[in-house]
Amino acid sequence: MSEHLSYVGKRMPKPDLAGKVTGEAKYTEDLVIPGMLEGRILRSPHAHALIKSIDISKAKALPGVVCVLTHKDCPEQKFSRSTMAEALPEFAFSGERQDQYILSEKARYVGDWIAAVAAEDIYAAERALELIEVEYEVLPAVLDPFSAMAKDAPKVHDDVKANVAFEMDHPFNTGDVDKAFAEADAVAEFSGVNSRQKHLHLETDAAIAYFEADSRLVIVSPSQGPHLAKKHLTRRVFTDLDDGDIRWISPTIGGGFGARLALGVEPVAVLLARASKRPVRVTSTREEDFSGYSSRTDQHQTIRVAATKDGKLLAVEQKIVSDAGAYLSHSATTSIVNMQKTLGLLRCDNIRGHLTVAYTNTPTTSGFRGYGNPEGAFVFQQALDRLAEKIGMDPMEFRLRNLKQVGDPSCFVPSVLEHTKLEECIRLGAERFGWSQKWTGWGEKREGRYRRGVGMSILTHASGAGGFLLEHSSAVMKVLSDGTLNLIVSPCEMGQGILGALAQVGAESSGLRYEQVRVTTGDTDVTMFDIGSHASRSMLVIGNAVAAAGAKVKDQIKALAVAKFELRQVSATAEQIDVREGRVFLTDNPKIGFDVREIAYDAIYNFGAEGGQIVATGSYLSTSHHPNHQAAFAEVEVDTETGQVTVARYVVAHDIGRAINPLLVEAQLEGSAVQGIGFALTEDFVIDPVSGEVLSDSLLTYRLPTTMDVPDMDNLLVEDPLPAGPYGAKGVGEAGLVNPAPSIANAVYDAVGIRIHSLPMSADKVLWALRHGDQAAKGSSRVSGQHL
Amino acid sequence: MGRVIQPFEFVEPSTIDEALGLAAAEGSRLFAGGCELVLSMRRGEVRYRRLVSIMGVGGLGGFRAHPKHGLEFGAQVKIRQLANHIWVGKRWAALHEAIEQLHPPHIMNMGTVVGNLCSAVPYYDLPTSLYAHRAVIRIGDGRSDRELPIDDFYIGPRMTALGRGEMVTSIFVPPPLADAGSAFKKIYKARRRSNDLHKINAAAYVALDADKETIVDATLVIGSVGAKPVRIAKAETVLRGQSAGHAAYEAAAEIAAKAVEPMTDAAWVEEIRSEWIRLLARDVLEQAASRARSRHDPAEDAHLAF
Ligand SMILES: Cc1cc2nc3c(=O)[nH]c(=O)nc-3n(C[C@H](O)[C@H](O)[C@H](O)COP(=O)(O)OP(=O)(O)OC[C@H]3O[C@@H](n4cnc5c(N)ncnc54)[C@H](O)[C@@H]3O)c2cc1C
Repeated sequence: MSEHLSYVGKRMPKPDLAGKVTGEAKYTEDLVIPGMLEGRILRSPHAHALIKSIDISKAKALPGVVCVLTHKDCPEQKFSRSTMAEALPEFAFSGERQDQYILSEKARYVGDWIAAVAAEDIYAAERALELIEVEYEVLPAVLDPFSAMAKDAPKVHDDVKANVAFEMDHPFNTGDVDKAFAEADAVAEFSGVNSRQKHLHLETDAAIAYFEADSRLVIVSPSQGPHLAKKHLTRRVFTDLDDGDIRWISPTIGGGFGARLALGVEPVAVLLARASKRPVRVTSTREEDFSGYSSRTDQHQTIRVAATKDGKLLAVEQKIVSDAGAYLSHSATTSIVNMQKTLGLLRCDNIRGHLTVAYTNTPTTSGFRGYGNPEGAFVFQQALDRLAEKIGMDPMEFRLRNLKQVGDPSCFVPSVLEHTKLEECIRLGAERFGWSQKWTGWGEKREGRYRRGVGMSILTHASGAGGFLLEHSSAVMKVLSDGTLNLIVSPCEMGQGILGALAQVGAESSGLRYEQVRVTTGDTDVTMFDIGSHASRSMLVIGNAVAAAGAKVKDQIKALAVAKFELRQVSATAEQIDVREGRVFLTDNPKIGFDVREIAYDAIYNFGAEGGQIVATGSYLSTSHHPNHQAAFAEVEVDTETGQVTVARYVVAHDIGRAINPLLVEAQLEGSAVQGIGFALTEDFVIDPVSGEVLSDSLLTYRLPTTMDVPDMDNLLVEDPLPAGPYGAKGVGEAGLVNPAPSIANAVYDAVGIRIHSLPMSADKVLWALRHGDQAAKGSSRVSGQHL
Repeated sequence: MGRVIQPFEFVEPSTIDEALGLAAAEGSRLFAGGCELVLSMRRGEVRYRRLVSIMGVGGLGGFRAHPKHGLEFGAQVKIRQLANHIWVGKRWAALHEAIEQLHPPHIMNMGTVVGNLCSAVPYYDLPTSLYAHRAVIRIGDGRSDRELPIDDFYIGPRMTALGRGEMVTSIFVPPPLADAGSAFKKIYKARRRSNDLHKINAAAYVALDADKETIVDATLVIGSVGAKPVRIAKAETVLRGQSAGHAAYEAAAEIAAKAVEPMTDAAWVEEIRSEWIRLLARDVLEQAASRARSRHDPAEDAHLAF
């Protein structure tokens, strides 16, 4: 295809860059609505307690306090924080547990929301919290899923038996797993659990709610999917409201990483705004964000795999016990997606997965970039390495022999895999990394205090969940008189750069100038329906909608250009005309042409004749999840005396289809790899095993990797356009977080012959395992995510 | 659990007297770079109605480092200033390493070294390194001055020996002996209990005789293992007079591992903790001694000092 591309594939600056750099970008906390009150939430100091009484009189009497609300003031039906279920068909939706009130009638974790205050300023609101007198009857708490499901364990929710929030067999279980295990030449097993990684978006949870003059409700919050959030809020929380009664605005978002797919403080803001009849903003602190907001779900897993001696994968079995925390939110769906990605990665005829999700008296867990895939890969990729070791095969070779090919069932099994470049990713990454020189075989003993080792991992991830979620999106384009393109689209810009990539697609497809694209997003009154930015979907789904709109704009310009050429004594049909970079010209004589503004101006300001601005909408419905793939190679150095693991080198090759903007793709890969290295080595969400309090509630004690901790990294792009993608693009937003933990874990094993069963693989755990052998890991501790 | 800080008064006096007078009132506190104070105020651990900045007070900004005369810096000196000074790196390597490993750049730019010490936060690193260098704390009350060895400065977690109406005016760090070196190391952990800290640090100072064969003096300090850094006096005594070599450091490290009190009742916490104490102690001694051996007479490069 000798296709000419003006913008696609180029390293263009993002349109929102200037605002971010200068500080001009307006986040929810920057906005000032005249007459706005400040809202704060009182949180439970107990992991599990009945609320005997709440005395709000003193708080109410404090000057400046406008209203104080408790569970008695909340709507009576329960809801789930997760908004995702709204994008599922009704039959799937009914399985979702609606399990919480805005303000709780019982404290279910340290940090549970008990009361809310709105006051003239934030200081009065804060002081009022201290004046609310709550009488608690402290109950025994369950702090990990296993004791939660034990006989006679205290119940987190009275109506839930044995604290089992959710249970299912993997819907696509297939084959005869027991037979396959019985007949296999080799069987391997690995058990492990990930930690509750924190999203740590720099902007903590916040929302503003107010009523416009016609009493329409406006919500301003950093939502990743305001259209769905609106549906959820009206269907599940404030059922007296309907779609048209709310205008939801997502301004600049200070990071999302999946946290903003669940309702945050928005319902509290609405509750307070309704009660006070004033605009209200509710904010939270970093510490509150640590203890009360969401994190990754800790999924305890056992994975068994079987193979023939020549390396054919015969069976995979995965058992998951997930810890939802106090409320279900995304914990069940992330666990299901874990099974889909884990059991669906490789060719295998016999698969079986089973999931149980338990409630505990710990903070609610939720969706996080990767959505189950990093959790599963940490365990699965180590199980695969164990199996490769048993049959004495290079782990890369073992994976290569079991890759899915085009035509195989895809990872969401009912659909067919239409496109994969995973093999190319593995080969390219291996070559850059030097796998064939660095991998020296199983069981090689290394000497010395500092030992090096290498490991690898592969993945499949979705580019949207077409065929599963409601994957359609629409874009609107209008052309201004100077050839400026107003692009109205629905993704939420959380820093990932999607607006830039969509602007590139918009300019490319319409033929207008990138520099003249003005993107509008984030306001449900302006943008078309879309389920939000997640699941690595925006580029593929919204990008296709933009490309469709752009093609229509280009056609309109071409049609209008015929007359313009005629005025210049040039006769051409629309088919003989092209538009590129803001210029209209003849395809076979590009010198003959003119600036598109001539057409754009006349389209609007054509006094007399039929007027009409150039405007188009484009829609796209994705019916497949169009997987993107990745291979990663890690080299680590283990200090065998302290247990410290250092990543020396990390090479990634990603099956991107086409990189609309390679700069942004590399940034996504780099950023997510750093997040993945934190997940692998340093980030530890520590819950006190007695009180249930979050101990790692600051950036001093929850150790996020910084730029100083980043290893020598290479991000390679494998570009083979996906026919269904906009200009061939696939998604890339999440995948990078998946491979670091398993590849580093496999490299640690190569270096020192031990495997760590829980994340993070911190120095103390590594040293423990070195001293006691990895078999000594005695199962999970009372604190989820920590093996003793 | 995280709080919104209530409004407070912020005053910027220009003399020590004035500053201490203002800070003596109930609900008032001295304020330097604010890195620790703002954090603990926001966490709701402390509350103040008035913060008294010492950053405009005259006479607290002095900074001198000379291989023969020692290192001396006032209460206003930022961590970054020390990090950038060649003599700190050359002669007070333990302090320099502790600073180098303090990663957030803005904390280096805003935070003072004295503020770091006065916070008395048990897991901070600079106190451990300054124990190794046997720093002397100079305390003023506006009229007279007194000096306290750093060993006597901490009286409990987040508690110093400063009396009401007193402040630290400067720190003096004596010059190391001619053939001496120092080192600092730290290590983080993930698994812990509530009363346990998330890291361990260690620092050592080793001075050798002119032949660089015998240890003539040593300091060994372990930090982040309790309310304040712990000097391993017994190890220091044992080291003195011994020939400089692995055996000596190993033996001293064993003593250190046994000397530090456990922090929890969990065997898995304590096993790793005492092993790390041993390793860190051995490594910092080894490193300090190696620096001592590779040194040449400071008089030779004294001309570079100013
Ligand atoms: C994110 C982060 C990471 C950090 N990492 C590290 C690290 O890795 N290692 C490490 O060692 N430290 C670390 N620190 C600590 C940091 O170095 C200190 O918080 C900072 O140096 C304190 O100095 P300050 O000038 O800001 O003090 P302030 O916050 O202004 O004051 C701290 C305390 O000292 C008192 N005080 C200040 N000056 C005087 C004085 N002259 N006399 C008497 N009392 C006084 C104040 O009243 C207050 O109680 C970190 C801090 C943060 C926030």
